[in-house]
Amino acid sequence: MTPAEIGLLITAVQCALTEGKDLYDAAQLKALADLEVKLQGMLTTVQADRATANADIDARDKALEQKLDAAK
Amino acid sequence: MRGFMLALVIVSGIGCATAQKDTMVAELALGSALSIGYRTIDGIDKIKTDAIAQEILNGEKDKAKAEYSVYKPKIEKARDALNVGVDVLGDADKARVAASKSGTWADFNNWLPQLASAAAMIQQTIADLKAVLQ
Repeated sequence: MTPAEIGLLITAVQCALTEGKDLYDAAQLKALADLEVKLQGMLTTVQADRATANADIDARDKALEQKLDAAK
Repeated sequence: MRGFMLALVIVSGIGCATAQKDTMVAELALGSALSIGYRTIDGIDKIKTDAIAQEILNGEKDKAKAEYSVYKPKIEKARDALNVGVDVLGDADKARVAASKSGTWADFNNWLPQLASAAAMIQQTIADLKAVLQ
């Protein structure tokens, strides 16, 4: 193999690697973006469930204490 | 040399993306445990408080008071555990977003075991709370 052929081969490998990396990066970015959307939805759900549970539990707690006091 | 540098960039890129993806998956798992946890304690609390209220109506005031005094710390403990989980999730999410912007993931990987640990703690807390119904 001549030096020129070796140079061409290296360039071809580098092009393939660059193209592969671009494709990989694009796929990774898409996967990460999809996960980010899911995660933000999950964080919103957690906050909503937390607010609901805390409000419900506090309201029941208060009502039960009033019933206990009234039963004295 | 150029090939080596390119390979290094690729490997580094894969490492960062994997760390970020793993963390997001762990965050989703913790978020799911928290969401289920809050709904579960809300449901358990309704069952338990209804039962105690019924005892009051039946004139079993002392029994109701005794049950309430045992039950209340348990529900508060479960709420505290879930709140700790929410804090861990919030802090991990902030750290992940900061790391993805700065590109520094070295310290960030410490969050993975913390997320897993918080999810396990919540599952155990819910299992303990479910026991009050039995």
